[in-house]
Amino acid sequence: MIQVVIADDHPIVRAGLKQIIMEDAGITVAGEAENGNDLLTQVRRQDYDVILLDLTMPGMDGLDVLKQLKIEKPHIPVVILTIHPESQYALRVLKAGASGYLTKVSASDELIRPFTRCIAAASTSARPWPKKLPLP
Amino acid sequence: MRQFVGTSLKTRLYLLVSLAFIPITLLIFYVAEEQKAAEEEAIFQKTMALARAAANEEDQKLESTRNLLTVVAHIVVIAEGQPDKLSGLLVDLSMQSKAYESFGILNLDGRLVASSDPSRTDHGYSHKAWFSNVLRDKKMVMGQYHGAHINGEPVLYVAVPALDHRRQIVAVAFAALNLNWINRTIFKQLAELPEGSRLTLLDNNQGVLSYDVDAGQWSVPQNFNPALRREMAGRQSGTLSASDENGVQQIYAFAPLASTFRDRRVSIVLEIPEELALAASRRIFTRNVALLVVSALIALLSIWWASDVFILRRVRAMVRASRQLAAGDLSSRIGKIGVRDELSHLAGAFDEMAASLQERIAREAQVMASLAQSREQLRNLAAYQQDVREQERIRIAREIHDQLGQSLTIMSMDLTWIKKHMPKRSLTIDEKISGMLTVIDDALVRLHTVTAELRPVILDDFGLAAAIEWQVEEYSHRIGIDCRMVPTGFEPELPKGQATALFRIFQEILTNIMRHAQAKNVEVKLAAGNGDLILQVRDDGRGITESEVNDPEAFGLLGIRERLYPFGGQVVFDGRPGLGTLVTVRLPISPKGDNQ
Repeated sequence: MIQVVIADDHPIVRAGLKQIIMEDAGITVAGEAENGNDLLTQVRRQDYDVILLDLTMPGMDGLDVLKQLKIEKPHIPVVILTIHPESQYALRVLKAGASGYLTKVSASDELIRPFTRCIAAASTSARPWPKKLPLP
Repeated sequence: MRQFVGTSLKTRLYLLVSLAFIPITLLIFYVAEEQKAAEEEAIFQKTMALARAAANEEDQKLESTRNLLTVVAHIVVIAEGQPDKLSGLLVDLSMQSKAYESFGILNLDGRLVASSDPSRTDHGYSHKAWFSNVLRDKKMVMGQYHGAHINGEPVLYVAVPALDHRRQIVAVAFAALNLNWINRTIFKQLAELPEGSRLTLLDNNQGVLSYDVDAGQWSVPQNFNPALRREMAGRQSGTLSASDENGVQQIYAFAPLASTFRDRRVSIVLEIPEELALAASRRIFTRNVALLVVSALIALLSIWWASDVFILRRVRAMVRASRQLAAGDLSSRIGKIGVRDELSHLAGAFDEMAASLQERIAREAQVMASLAQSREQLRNLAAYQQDVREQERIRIAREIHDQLGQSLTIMSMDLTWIKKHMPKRSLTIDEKISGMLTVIDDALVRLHTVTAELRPVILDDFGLAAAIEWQVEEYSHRIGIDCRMVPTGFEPELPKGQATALFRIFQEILTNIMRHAQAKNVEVKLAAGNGDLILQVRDDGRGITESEVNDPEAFGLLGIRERLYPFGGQVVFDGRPGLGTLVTVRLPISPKGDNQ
């Protein structure tokens, strides 16, 4: 079972995402965080398979959280969930260490596929998470 | 006056005063010459007077001598055959007058037959020229003025023939006139002449007889300058200056001694040492020259003092103040510089001008400071307004994103979920939900466009290079001008204020290209060089003109400059007609403490 932690400051968004994720039998939402610090605390306490991270949260900057995660837990893939669809934004996020990139609009349809891809890649290779992921 | 250029005022004054002394100097020399001429004339007049007096006296003496000798001659004729008996008479005559040194009667052989001096009876006179002349001319004859001495006294022989009734000479009576006696009047006058003076008698027969004033004696000089003699013979009377036989400079005044008894001309020459003769004129000349030198010295010293006190010191004060003023010291003044005159008025005018200038400069400085302050305030206000606008954009963008965006996202998720979990599939509801999802997607895209225009989140999240890359893509996509970025790998980490300013400048440049350049391609380069961040935007449009760059109403360009000003940045617009425009923005990379 793939264990996912969701970081988003909107509870309704978290609920929606959880609903979508939980529909897949192989994936479970093992944790939720409403800001960056909360997420780091949870990740330090428990190992997750995938982190779903919204970059625009109050408090700690989303990119800083991402960088910190790559320092502390470089093996955990981080999928960025954002409202910005620009390719430049996606490229920079991936360059910053993200393993995947999803816009929230497409999340409903395409959320599960990246997770399974991420896990598959992580289990078959010791290399860092592949940067090139399908973009929405 | 060209020769005065470059010389000091003092030197020019000295020259002017020296010029003023030139006529005085000439006058002194002229007066000296006049004085000398007057003295020479006086000597000449004295010589003339001497000549006349000597001639008169000689005439008188010769007249009386002739009368006396004529009587003696008659007595000789009367005492025919016994002239020797006349010796007593001759002795008496000799005793009567000291003017006669001796008397004598000669026979036709020239032997003395009777004499006032018995000791000279055997003396022969046949060799004497005057004896021969008497025998020949049968009339009174005078001897020469030289060579004859009796008892040490110079004498002049005068001889008269004793003629019988047939006019035949039977004897010759003569008298030896004492020259020192007959010229006593002259000698008295000569005694008044300066020491070293000399009287000389010259006759036509090379005869010379000189009377030495100091010694009071006649003598025959060893030689008399022949050139002088010729000169005097030619002019008869006058004065001339020449050296004597001893090399002493003398003044010679000469005049004819016109005796009626003399058939040959005799000149009387008065010779006075020039140094003594012209002593008075030389003394006056020396005194005048001394006075001139003293006057000149006093004048020059006066000029030295007066020019320094009344002109130069004051001029120096004016020059000093002028230079200080020129060097920027507007408080420089000349002040009081002595007496009230033209220079004082000039100094006063200068001070008034300096005061006026200082006041004007102070006013201008005040205005400039006020203007600078006002401009700084305007800049600060503009910067503040931009900042406020930027903050407002950020706030609105975030608000839209956080509220509307999240809401639409949630609605989209929920609708997707509903669509997926509807228990009974209804085509109509399914289509409705799909339609709603499309509307929501469009709204999200539109929402995103609006927030990106307000404030691109990529600028805040990933910095200037990423934001410019995004803007390049957006520009190409939305405007239709092929815009591309030259890859340099340069990604500066700038304070947010600088990053925002540069990004907005970049947007302004792109807007200008879109509006005015008529370009088809745009190339953007972000790089670093010489400690500066360099942003270059090149287009292939018509090329911006100089007047457009300097147009005071080009507010877009003005905004670019004003945005750069707080950070010490610069912008250069280089337009080439028909070839495009290159805009180069330079910004010192070291931050200036701006962390906005």
